[in-house]
Amino acid sequence: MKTLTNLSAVLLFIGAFITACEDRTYERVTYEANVPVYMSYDEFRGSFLKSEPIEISQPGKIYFKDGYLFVNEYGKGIHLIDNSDPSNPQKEAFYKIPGNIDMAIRGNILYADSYIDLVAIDISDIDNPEEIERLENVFPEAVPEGEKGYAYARVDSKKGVVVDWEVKTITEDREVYQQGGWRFENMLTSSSMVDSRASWSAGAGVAGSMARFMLNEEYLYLIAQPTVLKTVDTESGNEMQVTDSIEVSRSMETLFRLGDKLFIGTTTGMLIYSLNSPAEPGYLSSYDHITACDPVITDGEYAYVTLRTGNRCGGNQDLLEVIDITSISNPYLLKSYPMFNPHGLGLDGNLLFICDGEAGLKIYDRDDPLDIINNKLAHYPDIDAFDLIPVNGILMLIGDDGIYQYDYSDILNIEQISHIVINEE
Amino acid sequence: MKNDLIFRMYLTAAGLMIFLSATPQQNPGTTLQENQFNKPRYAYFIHPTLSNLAGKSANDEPNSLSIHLLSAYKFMNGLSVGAGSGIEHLGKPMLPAYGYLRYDLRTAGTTPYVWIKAGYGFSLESEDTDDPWYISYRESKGGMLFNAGIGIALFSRKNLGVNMGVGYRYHKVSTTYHETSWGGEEETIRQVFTEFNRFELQIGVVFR
Repeated sequence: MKTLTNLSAVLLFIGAFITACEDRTYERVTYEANVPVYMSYDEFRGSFLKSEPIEISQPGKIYFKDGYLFVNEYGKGIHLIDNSDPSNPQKEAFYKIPGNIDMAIRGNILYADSYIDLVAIDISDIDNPEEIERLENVFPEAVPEGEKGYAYARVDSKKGVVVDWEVKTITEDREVYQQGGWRFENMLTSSSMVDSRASWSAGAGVAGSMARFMLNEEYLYLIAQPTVLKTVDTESGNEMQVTDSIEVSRSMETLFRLGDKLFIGTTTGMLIYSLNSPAEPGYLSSYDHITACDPVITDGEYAYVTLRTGNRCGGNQDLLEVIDITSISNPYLLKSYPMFNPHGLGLDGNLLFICDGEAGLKIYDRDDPLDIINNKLAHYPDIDAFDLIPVNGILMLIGDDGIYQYDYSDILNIEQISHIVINEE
Repeated sequence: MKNDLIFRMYLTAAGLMIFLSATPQQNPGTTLQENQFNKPRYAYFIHPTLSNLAGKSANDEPNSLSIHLLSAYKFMNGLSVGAGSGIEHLGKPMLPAYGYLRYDLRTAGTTPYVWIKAGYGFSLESEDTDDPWYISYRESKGGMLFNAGIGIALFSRKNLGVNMGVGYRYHKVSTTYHETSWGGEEETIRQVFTEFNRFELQIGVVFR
C-alpha cells in the first residue's frame, strides 16, 4: 500500500512537472521606427488657448457659420476668419487645439477634436473663448501621422498623449509574430471637413462633404475610429456624454445628414442610418461600391458619391456615382460617370459642384441624373481644390494653395472674389 | 512518425538495459553484497545517455530526442566531475557542450544520485534561408543550457552499469533574421529567442 502511495506521488509529481514545462518564444526586434513623443495628460488638457491670427500653412477642413469661416490648421487648431465680406475675409484669431482635425458648431459652442478628446468651447466672445467641457478618450486611437515609410513603435498610453513622432532606432521585445505599433493615422490624415463679436444663430453651421462630425439638434455624431460611430449628447454643452457607440464592419470616412437620415461614406460603400431616435441611430440600409475613398452628399432623392484612387483607400477607378435612395431601404446605383480624381462635392439647388483633383472644378446641372455628364455647365481646370462649400452664391474652396472664394451667381462666369494665401512652413 | 521512432529507440535501449542489469557476473561462493563491483571505487567512467525532452512546445515538438556522451572522474566521496557533448534537436539541430557534476548518495553498488549540467548549445542549423526574397540572411545561434536531475544507477557487473533518471532541462536558442526593405536602405534585425523548459526522462549506460 505504501509502495502504491509512493508510486502515485511520483507519477503525480512527474505529471505536474511535464505540465509546467512550457517553452517560451519571443522576439527582439531592432529597427528604425516612428517613436512616440508624449505630452502629459495635464499639460495636454490645459493646452487650449486663443492667440492672435497666425499664418495658414497646412489647412484641413473648413466650416462656415454666421459669416465666419473656421479653417482647421492640420493638427494644431482652428483659424477664425471673419467672412462677412467674402471679398475681404479677415483673420480674427487662432484657437490652439492640439491634434485638431474636425469641428462642428451648434449655437455658440464649438465642438472640436483634440487628439483623443472632444472639447466644447464657448465662442460667444470670440476674443475670449472658454473651454467649457471635455469628453475624454472619445477618440481612443488618435495619433498624429509619422514619417512615411517607417513602422510605428508601440505606444504606452500611460505616458501621456502622443503628440508627435521621432524616427529612431529602437529595440523591442515582443511576443513572436506580434505586429509593431498601432495607429489610427486616418484620424489626422483624412482630408477635409467643412461646415464674439459674433452673433451666433441657434443651429449648426455648414460642413463640407468630407465631414467626420455631424450635428443633429443636440446630438453630435462622430467617427471616433474607422469602424466606430459614436453619438454624443451635447444637450447642455457642459455635460457631454456618449449615448451610443456603433461598430460597423467597414472603414468609415465621412458623414452627411439630411433630415432624419444619416449617410455614412465608407471605403466600400454607403451606409444609411435612421435618426428617428437621434440618441441611438438605427441601421436602415447600405449600398456597396468598389473600394475607394468616397465622400457622400444627398438631396433626399439621390445620393452623390465620388470615388477616387491614388490614396490609402485603394481602388482603381475614379467615378461619380448617382444612387437612387427613393426607397431608403433599397438604394441602388442609377448611373456612374467617369471622373479624373474626384474629391469633395457640394449641392446648391440643381447645381452639382465637384472638386475633380488636378482636372479642376466642375459644375453640372443635375436635373437629369441619368445624363449629368452631358450637362456640364462650367469647368475651371485651374481650380485645384479638395473640398468646397456652396452657400448663398458664394463658393468656398480649400486646396493646397489656399482658400478661394468665388461668386457663382453667374454660373457660366464665376468670379474669384478672394484668396487667402497659404504660407507653407 | 518522429515520436514513433523515439519510442522504438527507447524500447531498444530499455531492453538492452534490462539485459545488462539482469546478468550479473558473480564470483562463485560470494554474495552480491560482497562482490567487488559493489565496493567503493574511484574511477574514470564514460556515460552515454538517451533522453526524451518533453514539454509544451513552442514549435510543435513536444518530444525531442537528446543523445549525450560524457566522461567524468568519480572520487571516493561519491562526487564526480566531468564534461560532455552530444547531439539533439531543440527547434533546430544542436551540439551541446557542458560541464558535469554528479553526486552519488551511496559510494558503492546501486545508488541514487543527483546531477547538474551547465554549458552552451551550439547551433548546427544552416545559415541559408527559405525565403531569400524577404530575409537577406539568417544567423542561427545556440545558447546557454542547464540541466539538473535525479537518477538511480545499477551496477550488475564490475565495469558496467545502467541508469535511469528524470530532470529539468533549460536551453535558450536564438535565430537572428536580417531583413532588408525592398529599397535596401532600411534593415530590421529580428532576433527570435526560444527558451526550452523541458522535462527530461533519461536512460543510460555507465562504463568504468
